[in-house]
Amino acid sequence: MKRLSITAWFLSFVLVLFVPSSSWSAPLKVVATTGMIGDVVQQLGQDKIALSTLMGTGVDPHLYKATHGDMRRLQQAEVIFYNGLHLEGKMQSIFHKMARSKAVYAVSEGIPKSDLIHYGSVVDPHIWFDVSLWQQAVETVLEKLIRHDPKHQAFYNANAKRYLQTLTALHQWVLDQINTLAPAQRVLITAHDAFGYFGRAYGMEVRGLQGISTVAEFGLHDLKQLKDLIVARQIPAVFVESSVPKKFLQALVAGVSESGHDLKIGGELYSDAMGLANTAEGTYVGMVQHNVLTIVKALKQGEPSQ
Amino acid sequence: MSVSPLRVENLAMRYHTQPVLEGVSFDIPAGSSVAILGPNGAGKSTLLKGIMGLAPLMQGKVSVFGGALTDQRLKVAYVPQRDESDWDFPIQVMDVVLMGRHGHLKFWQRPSSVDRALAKQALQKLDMLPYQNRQISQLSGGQQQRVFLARALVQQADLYLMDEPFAGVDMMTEKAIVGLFEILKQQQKTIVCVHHDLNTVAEYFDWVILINHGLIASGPVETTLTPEIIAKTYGGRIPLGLKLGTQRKGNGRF
Amino acid sequence: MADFEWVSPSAWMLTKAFWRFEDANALWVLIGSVLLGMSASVVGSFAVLKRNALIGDALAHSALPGVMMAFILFETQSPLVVLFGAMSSSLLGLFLMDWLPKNTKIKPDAALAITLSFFFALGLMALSYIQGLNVEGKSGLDKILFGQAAAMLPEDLMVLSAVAMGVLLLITLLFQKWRLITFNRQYARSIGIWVKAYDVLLALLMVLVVVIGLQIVGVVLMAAVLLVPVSAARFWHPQLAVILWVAAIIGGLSGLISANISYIAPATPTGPWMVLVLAGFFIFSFIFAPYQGWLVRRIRQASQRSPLHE
Repeated sequence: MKRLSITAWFLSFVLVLFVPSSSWSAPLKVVATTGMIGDVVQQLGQDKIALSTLMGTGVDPHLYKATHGDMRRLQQAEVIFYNGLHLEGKMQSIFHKMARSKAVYAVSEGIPKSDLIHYGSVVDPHIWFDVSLWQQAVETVLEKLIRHDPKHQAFYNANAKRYLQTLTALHQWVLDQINTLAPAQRVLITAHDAFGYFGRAYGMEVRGLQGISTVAEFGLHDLKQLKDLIVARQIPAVFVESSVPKKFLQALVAGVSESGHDLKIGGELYSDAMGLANTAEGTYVGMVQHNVLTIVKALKQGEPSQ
Repeated sequence: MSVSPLRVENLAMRYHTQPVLEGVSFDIPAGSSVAILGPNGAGKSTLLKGIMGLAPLMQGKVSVFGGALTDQRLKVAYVPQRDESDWDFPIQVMDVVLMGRHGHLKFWQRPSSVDRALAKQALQKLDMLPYQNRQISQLSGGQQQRVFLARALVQQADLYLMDEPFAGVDMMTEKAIVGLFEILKQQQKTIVCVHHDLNTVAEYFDWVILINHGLIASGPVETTLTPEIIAKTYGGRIPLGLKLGTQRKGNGRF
Repeated sequence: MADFEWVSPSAWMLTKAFWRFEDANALWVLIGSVLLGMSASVVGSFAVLKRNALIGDALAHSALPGVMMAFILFETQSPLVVLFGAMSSSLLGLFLMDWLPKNTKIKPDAALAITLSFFFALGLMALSYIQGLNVEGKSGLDKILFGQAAAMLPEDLMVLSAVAMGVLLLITLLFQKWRLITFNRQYARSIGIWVKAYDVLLALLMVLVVVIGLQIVGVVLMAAVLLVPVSAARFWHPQLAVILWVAAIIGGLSGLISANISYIAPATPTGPWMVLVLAGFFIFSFIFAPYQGWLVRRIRQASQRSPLHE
């Protein structure tokens, strides 16, 4: 009798080892590059996915180089999401390599070329600041999640529907907020050209000290251009970004102050990275809300005498 | 009886882990001109550096005019070996000579016109005054040596320690150095030189110290420079061209 | 909505505006670069004369981990904290480069190379580690690698000016002593000069200059600002005092010209241009300088030969 029970235990143990894991409810292993993408995956996948985000708060995706730990996470992932359009400038070769043996997707791939902003031959990658455009990225994530985990299709669809509704409301809210600014006040100056889509979608002129990638350095000439613009248009505030050194804009502000124009730093915007994890600003929606409220508040203060 | 300008007691020195000098003791009479002799690698230069505090002593005591070197610095002038300096250095003769005055100056002070006058005098004594504004890279070996000697002169010391001043110099320089020795002797200064040429020792010096990793002998040149002591010092490796037993005095040459 | 027109005035007009000192940022960068150029060239001259030319490079690379550690400890990038951090690890590197040859069989040049690479690697590791921290205000630490002169603030300029002028003053005051020690170290000791103290002081001045220079030219290019001016100046005159003046002028001019260029052209940081201008000065000196320039020597040789032909 005893031998039988031992054998039974042994056999079940062996069987357990050989049962394919997909028939277990093991969460889908997903790796996302930016926090914004990670947030989308989390909103859709909830507990059905095991998410790892590579770039946390304050990290500049243009300059980010993958660490050994990142490589390990990427190797173990089943699905990898990245932004694409060369945002993660220093990780391109890694994506190519991973794509040979894994499911690697750019969340921007579903966006038609005509919807993108082009600067000559270079494409602006900061698509998440046009909420309506970001909705298309959500759709792409949804599609891929379903493809790799069809069992939970209904679950993902339900979450996506809800999230997309939130985003639609957010998009409208942003439009309303920006409309409270007088047309002449709608100039947004930031540390680098991250807000092109924002400007286009919500009706603001945007200018950055550095170009669309922070890899490019800036010199005295670039400072001068911005200073002239600020003084000519009587712009009351500029905005630092969490992932770009505050110092650069502080130098701009100090320089403008010398010429008598009262310029302030209107606040810190989350541009290429979200806020601290586990805070409101650590989510996509929270990030957008924070940005818009900061922008509107600061630019309203300088009421130009019309 | 005047204080001995240089007295060494039981000095021992080491280079890394190798002993170089052991049990060296001697006492020099004031106003003498001393030659330190010995084969290559015997420790002659090392001895001078040890006396000057430029290399550490393992053992022993050095008294300069009855006191420690650090108290008597102004009385001692050191002339290093010529090839230990960078003669491509962008500096003029006059500036090198003026360096000798820095022992008398505070750290923020610069040489004054008095110092300059002293420097010119020193150069004059060594027949180098016409070269005062020349770059040292343009000088011959002998001229470089004379610049170093002028530098030592402006220190106005009472004891002069020189490392191979006659090495590789031309006739004119040798003559100038000997002339300088005579002037110093008249002023009752003491000279101690590491010397390499046994042929000229008796002529230029009145006291010899023979070194070969230890003291072989120390005494007046007439009595100490004997063939036996020379053989003992040089261990059979007697330098070429030496005429043993020859004694020369005065200014006679060859 | 009308886009703002980027009407770019011609380079000449911009240069004129630059020299009217109307642009505050340009003025700060100008003063900072000129002072850096002057003080670095003078301090670096002594390193070159001592046959220890690359020590500035090692000191610059050694500063990196200190800056990172300072950020990890104090979570700020304020100029004095950065200065303190950079100085600490630079001095540590200096100590190591001095200690290794004295206590091991490693020669000075190998000790320098080891220290440079080790500290730099440590700094890069720390930088990577900071990337992963959930902390605010950490961006921009990597700018220390190549400098970001245009981001200078008035408080940066004050610290830089104080250090640069202090360095220039001390070198002027103690010039003859350092010249003596560099030319004939043993002799200097023999006349009672406290050589060790002068060594330490010069090293300290070099560390200070390197650290203030990081914000303008960065770790990687700092060595050039220290070494190239005196190397170019040696072609102009045989005397050290004059050589130092020429080096200071070359260093200062390179700062000035690079600031001007940065003002005229877009996306042009000052640091790399300063090094390029220095290279230009070197080439010019090599060919045209009156004392040892190639052209002058050829002319001298030719004029010496011609009497023989007659």
